[in-house]
Amino acid sequence: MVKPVFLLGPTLFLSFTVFSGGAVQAQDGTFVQTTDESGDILEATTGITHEMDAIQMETIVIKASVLPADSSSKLAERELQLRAAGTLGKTLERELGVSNLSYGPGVGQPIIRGMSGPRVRVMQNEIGVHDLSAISPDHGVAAEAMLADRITVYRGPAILRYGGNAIGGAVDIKHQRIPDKIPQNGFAGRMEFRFDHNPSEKAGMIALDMGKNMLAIHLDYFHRAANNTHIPGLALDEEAIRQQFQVEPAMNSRGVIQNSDTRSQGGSAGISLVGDAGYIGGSYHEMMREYGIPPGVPGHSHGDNTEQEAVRVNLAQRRFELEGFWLAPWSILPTVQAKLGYIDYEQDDVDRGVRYTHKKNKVWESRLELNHQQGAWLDGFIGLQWQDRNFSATGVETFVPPSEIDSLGVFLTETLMLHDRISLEFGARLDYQTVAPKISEVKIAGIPDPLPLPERIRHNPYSLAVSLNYEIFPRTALYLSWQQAQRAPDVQELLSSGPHLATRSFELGRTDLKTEQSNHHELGLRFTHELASLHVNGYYNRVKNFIYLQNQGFFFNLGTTPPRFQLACANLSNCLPVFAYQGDNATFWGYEAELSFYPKLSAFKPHLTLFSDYVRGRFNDSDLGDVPRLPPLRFGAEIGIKLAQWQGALRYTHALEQNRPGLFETATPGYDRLDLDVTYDWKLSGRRKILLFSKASNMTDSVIRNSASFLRNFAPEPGFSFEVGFRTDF
Amino acid sequence: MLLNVLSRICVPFIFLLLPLHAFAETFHQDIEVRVINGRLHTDFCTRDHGCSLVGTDFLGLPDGQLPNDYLTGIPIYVSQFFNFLGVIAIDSPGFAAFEGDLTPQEHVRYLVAGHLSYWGPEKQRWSLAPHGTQIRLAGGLDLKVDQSCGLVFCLPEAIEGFTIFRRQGISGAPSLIVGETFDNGFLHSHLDWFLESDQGVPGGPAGAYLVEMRLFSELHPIPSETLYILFNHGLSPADFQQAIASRVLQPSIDPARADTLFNWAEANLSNFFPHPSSSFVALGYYARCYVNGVCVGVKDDHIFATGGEFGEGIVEVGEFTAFLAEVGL
Repeated sequence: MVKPVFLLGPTLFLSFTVFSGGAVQAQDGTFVQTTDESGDILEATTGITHEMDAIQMETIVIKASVLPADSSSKLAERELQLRAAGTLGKTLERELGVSNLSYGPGVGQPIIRGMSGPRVRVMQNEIGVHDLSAISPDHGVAAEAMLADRITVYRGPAILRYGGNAIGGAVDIKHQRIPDKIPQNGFAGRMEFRFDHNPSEKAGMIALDMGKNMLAIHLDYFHRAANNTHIPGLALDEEAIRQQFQVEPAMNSRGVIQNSDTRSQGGSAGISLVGDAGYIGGSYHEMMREYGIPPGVPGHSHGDNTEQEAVRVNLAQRRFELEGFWLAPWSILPTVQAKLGYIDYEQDDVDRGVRYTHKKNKVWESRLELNHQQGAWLDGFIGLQWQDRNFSATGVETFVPPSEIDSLGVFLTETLMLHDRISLEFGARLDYQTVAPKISEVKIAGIPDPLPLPERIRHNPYSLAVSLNYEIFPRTALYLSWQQAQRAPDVQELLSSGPHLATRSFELGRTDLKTEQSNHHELGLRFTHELASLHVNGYYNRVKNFIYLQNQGFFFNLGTTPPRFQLACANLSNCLPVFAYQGDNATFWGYEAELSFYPKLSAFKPHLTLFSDYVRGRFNDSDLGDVPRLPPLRFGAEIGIKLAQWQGALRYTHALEQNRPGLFETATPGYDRLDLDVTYDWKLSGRRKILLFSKASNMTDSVIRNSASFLRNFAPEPGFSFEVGFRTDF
Repeated sequence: MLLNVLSRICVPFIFLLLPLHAFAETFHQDIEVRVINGRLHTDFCTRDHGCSLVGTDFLGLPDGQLPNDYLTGIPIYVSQFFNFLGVIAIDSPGFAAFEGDLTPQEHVRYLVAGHLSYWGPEKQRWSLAPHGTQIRLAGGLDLKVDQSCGLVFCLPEAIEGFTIFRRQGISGAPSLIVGETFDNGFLHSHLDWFLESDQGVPGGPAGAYLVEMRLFSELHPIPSETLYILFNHGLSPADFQQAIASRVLQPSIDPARADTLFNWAEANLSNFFPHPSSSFVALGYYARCYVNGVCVGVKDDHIFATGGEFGEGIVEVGEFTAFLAEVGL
């Protein structure tokens, strides 16, 4: 469900109502329109338009907001259709403050302001994706961008409302799997097909919405298949690998990343009852994805010098979801929203056809939100979120014991309209999390006796937030916020005890980890005008007990049977350095800035956008250095035109060298990249339309080593690619 | 079970993970370990599957002959140092036991003794290693369950995890873990060896280096017979074969010349060596013992003595060849 409008502002008098739940109640009592959550002006496509003259409309006050200047952003419609890629990280990589945590082309997790993994919560309709991407960087995100209607990025702590340890931010993928409206004329659909010449990717989707009376049905299906990704030059940066791992690189390839082909497919079915007082529905979604790990990573595969490596990851997810939205008859409690999801996720890690690890993640999650209002000056939510997660892994890479992770959170957010141009938002959240291993002890090779595990580890994180949104001038808003957000350690941070091949380390969990606490300060400024716009956010984030892996100075030798601990290794290809989870204070700071001009020079409607983002993370203990694998400073410009149905934009991005890679990491050089988008809007009759698009990416075929990627020295970003496609709405 | 799977995936490729340039003359040998008469027994591989005996063709020995020390009959397992990006090291030979050979969950350990022996291309004979050169052996650590630091497992802040071989003898840990057997008694383990200066600078003079060790376990505490491990470092194939030959095809010391020295000592140094005695070979030494508890031996072109006036340890008395020349023998 979209974010309710709880920032109240200047009133507008229109002939329809924007509810906080985003639904418009038509005269026939059905919901026919969703609305934007931030108060943006929306296009009305109500089913009552044709009958407007015959209907006597009640004049209703619409609640709009102060011009928001917070740092969340949305990717939707044309922009989303253009950006939709095989991974979520790739889809969002142009978003300021967001980077792609790739592990070869098959994996792309979002990094928000330098934070990723368990610190970023990825959701589908506000219920977590609950794949295993938080546990390891080589695990893909189980979501498909082509099926999304909108992707919202929350920069900075998003725990208050969404929980799930989202201390670094959150990404919510909004979809129409559970219909909340009856389509016009009882039927609507979308269809898309795209072909990317590098990596010869064919992708397509179809989504159908049907409805009659109160019944709405949704069906969708997607399919992606890509060959190996082509790159400029060599896949392996051999000198960097020698420097980082002290091993001799093997299996380099020129012009292509071997074993980077991917396949995925999935579909959904949803059904809803939509009525006067809201809707209730359920959906089933299933998807599978198969991708390869680029070869040559020391310790990750069990390959050799002569046989082609083929470590593959096969993931499958089934989602069962129920969702209800009730327009209550009380002005003090206008809406109630409830969601329940069961996610059944499984993953196989396969080496040359032999499955060596099988992982499961089965999660129940539910959330209940009650909107409450008091006149025009108070709007808020009280909510409850519950999660029950069962994780298990069997096989070789079982560095986390099977565990049950339960959490219960209660939250409250309030928005006070202090003035027609000033709103104050504040909130609090309290969570209770328990991590209970399902085994009482673990046996580690090289240690004579089993290691007892705690029966249960409890944490009670709490979060507080306050923000001020002040429209200092018309079209100019200032945003000031402070958040103290706490994250309970994730299960792998508490209980790891084994080789983790993706990070090439032997990981030891720390059972006495305290909560990680972010003290986040942010200042934002937004100016919006028909000739220019500006959006700047700066932040300073002091993190107490920032949890990271600390080198212990020991090695775990996999070259012996059974493996064992020792102080040095002759051939580091056989050994994993031992890392243990540790909490130390760290500080992050950075900014995102975007300045756009829309000069009225000609019929071409040109625009020029200048942009930049930066994040710096550093441990307070100077011996620990910089937080590793952060993105570099980026800046660039985009020039675009719009002529009739044609639109085009040429975008230049320059990234500086990342010369603060962190301890035991290697620097990455700066790069330049040039991207071109061209689209044509073909408007057919009625609501039918076709978007034809083409994209030329990395036009200069630059060698781009992604400093945020664990595999930056093994798999550079894709070289030049040309993509064409169409999207039709009918 | 899980580790078993891991090992079965990893181990077959360890040999193949060696640098490519090593393949031309790679020595990869596993030392077969089993129990005979209640004691660990080591030997060259007698079974094919899972036990390597690679590289004996390059030793220059007659067809079918395995490298055993001529004087003592002690088996010599051959390996070769490589340059791992500046680190001169090797994780070979291996130690292998088959299903049923050893007791489940048996911790096999090594016990070292002796000196670091060396064959150099200049002198073309076995001697002690040059001053300032050492071989550092990283064995499996003796770890005990400790969770006091808050981790699932706390690694010790200080632990002796290396055995150092020098011409002066052994320092560091004299005994560390070779490996732990699986539930079926299976074992396949490798130790990591580093050639370096006594200041830790990687490398050393080109030559052949030889160390000795024995194996034992808590369940089989009587150490095995001594075994030798010989490493090539930068010798040409011809020189390396010569180093092997001077240990395998002929005694590394000349017994006749040693007897000459012993006879001379009994005649001229009767306070130490009070009566005529017979020579014998033990622990790699060509030696004689006397009623006063003194034993004198020759090994690696050096004279060693123990007992009586020399104390309980084995003391290096001097260089054998030089001493003979000095006394005119």
